[in-house]
Amino acid sequence: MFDLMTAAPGTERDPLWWLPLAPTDHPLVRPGAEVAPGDALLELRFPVDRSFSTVEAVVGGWVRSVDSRGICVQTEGLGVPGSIAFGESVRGRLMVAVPDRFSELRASSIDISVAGTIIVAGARVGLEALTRARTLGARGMICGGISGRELSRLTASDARQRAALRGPAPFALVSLDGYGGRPISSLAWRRLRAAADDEVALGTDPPMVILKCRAAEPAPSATRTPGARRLVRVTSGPYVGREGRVLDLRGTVGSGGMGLHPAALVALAAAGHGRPHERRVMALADLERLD
Amino acid sequence: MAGRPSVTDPLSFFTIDRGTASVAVALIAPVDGRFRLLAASAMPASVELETVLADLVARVRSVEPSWLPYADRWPSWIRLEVATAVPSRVVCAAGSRSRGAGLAGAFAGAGWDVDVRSVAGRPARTLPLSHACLDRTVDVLVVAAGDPPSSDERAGLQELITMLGPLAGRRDDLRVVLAGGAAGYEHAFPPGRVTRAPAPRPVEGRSGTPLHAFAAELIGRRAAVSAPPDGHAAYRASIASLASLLGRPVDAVDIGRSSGSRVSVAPDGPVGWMTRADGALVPLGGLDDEAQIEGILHWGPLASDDPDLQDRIRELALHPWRDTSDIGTRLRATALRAASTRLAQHWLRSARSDAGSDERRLDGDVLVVSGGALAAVPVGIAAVALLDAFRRPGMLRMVWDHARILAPLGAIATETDRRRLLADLMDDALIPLGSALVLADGRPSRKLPMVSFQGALTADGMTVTAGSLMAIDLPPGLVARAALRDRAPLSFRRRPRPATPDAWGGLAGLMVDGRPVPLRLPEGGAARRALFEDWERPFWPAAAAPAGAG
Repeated sequence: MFDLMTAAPGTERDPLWWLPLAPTDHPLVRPGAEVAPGDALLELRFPVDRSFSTVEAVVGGWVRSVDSRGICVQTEGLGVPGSIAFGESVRGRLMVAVPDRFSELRASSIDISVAGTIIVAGARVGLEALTRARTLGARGMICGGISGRELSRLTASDARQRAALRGPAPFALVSLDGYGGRPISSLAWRRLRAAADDEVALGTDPPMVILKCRAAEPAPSATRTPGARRLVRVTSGPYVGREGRVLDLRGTVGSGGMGLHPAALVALAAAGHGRPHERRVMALADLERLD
Repeated sequence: MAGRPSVTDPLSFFTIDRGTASVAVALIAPVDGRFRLLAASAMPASVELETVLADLVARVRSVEPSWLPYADRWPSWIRLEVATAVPSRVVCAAGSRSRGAGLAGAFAGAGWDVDVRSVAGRPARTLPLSHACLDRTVDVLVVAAGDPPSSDERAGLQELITMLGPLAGRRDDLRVVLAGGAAGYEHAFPPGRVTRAPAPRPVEGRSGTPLHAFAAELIGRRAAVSAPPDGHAAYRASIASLASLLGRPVDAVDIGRSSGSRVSVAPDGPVGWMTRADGALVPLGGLDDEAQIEGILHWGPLASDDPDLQDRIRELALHPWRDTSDIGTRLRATALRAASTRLAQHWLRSARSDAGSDERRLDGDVLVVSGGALAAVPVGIAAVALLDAFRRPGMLRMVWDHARILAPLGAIATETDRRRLLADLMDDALIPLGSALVLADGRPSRKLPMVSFQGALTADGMTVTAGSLMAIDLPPGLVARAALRDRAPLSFRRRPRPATPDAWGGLAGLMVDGRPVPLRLPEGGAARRALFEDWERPFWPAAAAPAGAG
């Protein structure tokens, strides 16, 4: 039955990164070319004042294809997949701004030190924190989840700024797990903590955090026998983001008073220092297996 | 094992319906001389298929090993498999507004996701149109005009072609379709990539028009590139077989994560169908559109302006199997009602445009419901949600394709084989949800008739309050015959009479519906929520009293 649960998204070696092209964009690279972070990939031409600027690669790798759909780069790195993205792909120094994966970043804790960084903002980020970070020069943010309403407001605000001839500085947001408040999974959290102060990239197409590969790092999901430890993560409900171990199957649990969903008894790890361990019967549909 | 009859082994098979969110599998085998549905399961699409199949076999073996004497050989058993994909995206451009609406309607009704609908002479739409043409998720560009183009189309059409020709030249993989009079501009597009199509009618959407048929064939050709066969087309084939088997008209609705389908079939042939991307449980194209999300929540008893609930609706689109809480179940029911209503509205709109055609209007009294959207909603609530959307005076009987085997059976090439299997499996695969007797007939001033029942129910001269929805316990297998007695003065106008007076029992029982047709809802949010709460209350299982979460 453990195999009948969805697997949590893992990490991906050398993921693809797309840079879309507008009708007036002029690519500066050819398929097969090697690119390094900071290399110019395309030229943006402004028809009004006939000026131009370039868009740089946010990650190293080699160019797989160049056509009117965009530039596709096979990156050299480790991709942590996300669910939702906003903005343009960026790179910057990774700054973990919250003490643990359950925390939420407050606007008041953002200061000038965020300039040029990509901030790990915890389980959720609000519009105030996003605006403040962007104003102070942050390049991007990574969070577990974001409210759809705040994302709409951010999009509208961005569109207003882009109505000017020169738009705002590039900024990206990647929500790793979806909408609402969603603690970052421990797997992604460990990767992000390990990459703190490194230069990382946020890709928006597809949504992804691209980290540098470390030579000593084992390949993803090759470290243990799949399913051996029955580790799971809660994906919805009051225990969302908590992780634990499946102890046993427990028939079905009800929703709307009906026993519709197969369930398991799960030993949940503590949600933070000093918090208790708990045992709960939970629907398998609300769990993701981690190993 | 050597002593077992060898004939039973090769006749065991699986049906597999691969959706974009979930995969539904069923195990079918001959038992006592006929095929029976032995086990069924639906899992998130990311779960490995072989694991699900092995689990099905193990479950049957643990209950009754004699039904599967050669169970160890299950990996070699036949698999009837279909798949549905995220709808292909199309950019539509036309020479006039009405032509654009017809063009977009034809492609949307055939299962395409219409990305941009552009009308000539509107310069503000130029930029989104060019961006859309270069979007790598867009597969086809369609340009349409009347045949020949009317005078108001010609100038604008020329402008469109001047822009779209070079854009199409920049993408080698973009297919170009020129419909109607636009075919005269073939020279403006890259050679070898243009397909001609019939001109659109002013309003399209349902099957039956040449352009809809073309759009359906085009999407079918794209689906045929990848095995397994297209689930929507197979579903239609199965519903047609079911109608001829039952000898009565059948309506069917299939709502999933990426699209929704509506089919209406007469016993002697297909009447109409549409498959729409915006008929999905939560349309994937509008997650950043707050009005759309609020619009979904308007169709249920929960607050539509609560940001947390809005996020949970968005999550239903991304991860539909998650959130098994009571609120999650209510949100699913709300989204199901909203999706059914969208499908019903599109259907009625296109039916109105066909009023002068020779197509028959919808009059099926059996509604088959399918799709992953019903998987985690209590059946009574699902029945009410569907009744709210598919409303018309008279008796409606609902059955649920709970194991999602209809689409895979539609992949059987031979009609007689499909009918034979359906005849065997109908009792197992189509669970009676219940019946609904809708008393109103669209005339607000008319008093509702009195209802009497005979057979499994005995009631005489029952009066139904206008605006109410009554739940009467009528278990599956029982049949009650309804008779209506008009309370209004004798009139020469058409009186409501159920096309069939027989109510089939089902899991949701019998619903006697005194609400108006179409459903009229109050403007105020609180009043609307209270109304939905009242209507749904009798259909929630006893253990789940309405939470009043709104």
